[in-house]
Amino acid sequence: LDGNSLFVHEASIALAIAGEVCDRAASERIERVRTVFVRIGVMTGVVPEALQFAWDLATDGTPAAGSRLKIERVPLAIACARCNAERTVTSGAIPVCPVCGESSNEIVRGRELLVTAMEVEDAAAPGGRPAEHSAQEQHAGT
Amino acid sequence: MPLRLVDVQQSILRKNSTLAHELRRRFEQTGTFVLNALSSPGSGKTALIEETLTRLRGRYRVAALVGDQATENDAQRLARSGAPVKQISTGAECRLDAQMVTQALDDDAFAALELLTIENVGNLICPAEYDLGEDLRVVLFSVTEGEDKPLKYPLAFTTAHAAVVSKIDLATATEFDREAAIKNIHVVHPDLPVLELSVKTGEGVDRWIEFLETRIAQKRVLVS
Repeated sequence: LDGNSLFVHEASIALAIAGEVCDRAASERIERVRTVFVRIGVMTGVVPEALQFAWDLATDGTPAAGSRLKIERVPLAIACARCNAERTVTSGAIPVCPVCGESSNEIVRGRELLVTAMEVEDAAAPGGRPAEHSAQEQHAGT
Repeated sequence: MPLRLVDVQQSILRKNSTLAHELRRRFEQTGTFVLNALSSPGSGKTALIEETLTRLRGRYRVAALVGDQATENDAQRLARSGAPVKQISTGAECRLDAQMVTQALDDDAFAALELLTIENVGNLICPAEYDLGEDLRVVLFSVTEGEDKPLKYPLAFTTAHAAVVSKIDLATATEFDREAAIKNIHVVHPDLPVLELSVKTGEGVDRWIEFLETRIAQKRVLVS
């Protein structure tokens, strides 16, 4: 059965997120990652609860250990050829127009697997002061 | 220590996408056509690929990769076709990824191929998300699995280039509703080519081979 693979899928995705986050942490002298923001489309088959469950294990022993994972769920949106309009599918992940019932090959949103931002604590700079970063980064994602 | 917000905007599967892109470029250079077969366990991926390799190995330089979490049974079955076969043991992982394929290809028997078949791990969720640099992604389901498979696993059908309905010799015994199955495929992916076949009786297999060879020929024209 496919059932038991659900959690394996999320474990794999959680490890990939942790990998991206830790790469970034290493390249920017980030000491601790407190919160990671991700955007997950409904069509990805990722179950948020299972991803949340896998997060602690995936980050164990990394700078993101003990961090929170904030999951933004993105509903499915399609381009409907018959309506000539973009439509949001209100429930589920089947690309059918909720207005006219036509199926669509054009997925506009809902396949996202994206790390959008992270809230971090910087390592102290050699002089004892926190490392400096650009104003753009300070305000990014807010 | 003050907290700082870092803008990331990075795809979670960035590394896989990069490697898949490299694989696709390499397959273009070597003129290799790559088939990636996805299905639940027991849909008949191995049987179809074994039959495909057996029929085509006289005409093309072929080889097969097969992903499996634990056993080597599928690799042994594919090897009966006479084609070079390599098993990729994925362990806990529920899918193949581009890195596993890249590593497996580091082998003389897998150089200068014309057709590479990749049998993914039996699962319709995880493999759908991982690009392997393939030209043709085929999703299979057998008549014994019921007509609603496409509705349960839409991503696998959305990302596929063709669907195969297998084991049609059992359609009557299982009261398979063919119209409903094809309708469900097209609800998820309008106009997706559907091939119905039974490796056991041979019904529909010629059409499958013809479909595959047409795609192989199309790639040859494109890359030459």
